Amino acid sequence: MTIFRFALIRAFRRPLNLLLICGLPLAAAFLPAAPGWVVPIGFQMYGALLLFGAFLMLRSVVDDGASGLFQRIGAAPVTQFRYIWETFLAYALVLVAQNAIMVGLGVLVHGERLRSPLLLFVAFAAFSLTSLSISLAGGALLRNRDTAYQALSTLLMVMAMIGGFFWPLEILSPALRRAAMATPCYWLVHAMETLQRGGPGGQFVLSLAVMLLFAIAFLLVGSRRRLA
Amino acid sequence: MVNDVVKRYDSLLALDHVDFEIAQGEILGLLGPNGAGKTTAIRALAGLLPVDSGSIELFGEAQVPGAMGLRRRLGLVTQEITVFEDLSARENLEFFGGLYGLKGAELRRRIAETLDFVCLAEHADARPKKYSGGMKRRLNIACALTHRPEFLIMDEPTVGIDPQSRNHILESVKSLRDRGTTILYTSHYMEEVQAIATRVVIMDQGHAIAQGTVDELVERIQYEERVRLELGSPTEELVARIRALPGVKQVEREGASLTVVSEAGSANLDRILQAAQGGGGVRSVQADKPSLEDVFLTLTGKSLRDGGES
Ligand SMILES: Nc1ncnc2c1ncn2[C@@H]1O[C@H](COP(=O)(O)OP(=O)(O)OP(=O)(O)O)[C@@H](O)[C@H]1O
Ligand SMILES: [Mg+2]
Repeated sequence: MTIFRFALIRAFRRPLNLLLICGLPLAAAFLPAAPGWVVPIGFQMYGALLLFGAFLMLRSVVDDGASGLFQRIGAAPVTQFRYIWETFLAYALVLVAQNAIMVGLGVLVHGERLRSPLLLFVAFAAFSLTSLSISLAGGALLRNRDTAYQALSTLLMVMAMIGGFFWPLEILSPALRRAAMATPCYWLVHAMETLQRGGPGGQFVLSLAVMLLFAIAFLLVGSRRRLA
Repeated sequence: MVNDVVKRYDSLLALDHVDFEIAQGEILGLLGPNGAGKTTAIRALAGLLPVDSGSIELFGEAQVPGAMGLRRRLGLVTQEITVFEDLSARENLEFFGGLYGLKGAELRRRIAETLDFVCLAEHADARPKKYSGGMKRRLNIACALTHRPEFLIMDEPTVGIDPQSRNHILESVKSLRDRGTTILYTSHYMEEVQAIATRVVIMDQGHAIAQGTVDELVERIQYEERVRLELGSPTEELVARIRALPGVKQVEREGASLTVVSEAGSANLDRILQAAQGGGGVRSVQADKPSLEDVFLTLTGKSLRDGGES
């Protein structure tokens, strides 16, 4: 539990994390619904905040690696598997709690216009896991800290843009749309739109499944990181 | 106990058939210039690194990466400062103590004790980024102590700090030994190792080139004895008289000071002083005893401090 507890403590120690975990999402919940958007804008953009919030929290793991802390942790009687999992779970807890608050605020602000809030929460939770595992895998693959930061933040930005967090999916050209389907972001937006439109449940389940598959695939890569 | 260990990084042979043993309760000094392979040896000892051949045995058990059994009994002080910058000293100790399974009142007691031991109690709740270099070093050591390891591995724990902090650390290391901790102490400062180590292993370019007590090592080298005299008014005649003494190989004169080099074991100091009586009074005498530095110089042909291919 030590690892879990301190991962939580450290998640809230950096000012930038606080802003991304507590500040921006709450502000986003209050953005109004706009014509042409199926989902209230703030909620669609919230996907990007999740993506980057996960990145910021897991950055501490990359920093620890760069500062040689893993040597020390590696010499202690805990497996690297345990270290990564407890850290991952702590951050997942932070994001899922944030998901719940976000949806709760959404219900307060947008009322009936926000359909199926419970399922929306489930979709956010799934995407939170995906976001964390992407950054975990990125940190594991890119051993150099600066490359890891640059490559990951660029990748996340591109994914957020073509995945449709900043505009409705409809405006994407068919080619772009196919490319978008290769990102987990698309599937979160798709899930949200399906819920908003009262679309078929099958589509929602499909989106959920794709996000979780992404999460599992990246987790497998990410937990292979050698600690020392 | 390290048996015939070989470790390669690609083509670089970082440990070349290294052998040494550490007795329970002693301080073993591991000495060598930059790139000698000290950290590599330590990482293998701590089970962080698989070795290519040979074996490592601690407390009668084989040390291999992934084995958890031995870890609770070891403490590792890393060469770099590896503490969490965003946690206070107390929290750092809590984290590392927790990793070793300590909790509750016992953990708190050990933390207080460890903070006292490294004199950080007053700054326990500050973050390390506000610390001076010496304080960070002490915290870096403290993080390996809360679980009271039986075998403490210290990789250059005094790099880059002022003499006062260094002495403090050396005293702490000695008092840990007095409590029964076995310590492997790595350094490239001769004086440190000479001051605290029971025995010394000297490494260079992946080889353990010599080992033994400091005295044994010093005896092993053929060393000249050097005496420096400061005289009132040395005359040529006096210099010639000293030069004629048995065992004296060389006398150099520089103004009023003489440097007399004799063969090892000639025990010449008395005779030199007698001979020097006529030189207007002896103002000062300085007799160099060979040090580990000289041992190293003799063994490798290079000086330790700036040595190696850093
Ligand atoms: N991970 C690594 N990959 C490749 N080479 C390495 C690695 N770690 C160390 N080396 C090389 O192995 C040799 C021994 O390094 P090591 O760090 O063990 O030396 P050291 O005695 O601890 O030196 P220092 O006094 O500078 O700490 C060096 O030549 C170093 O460049
Ligand atoms: Mg080293």
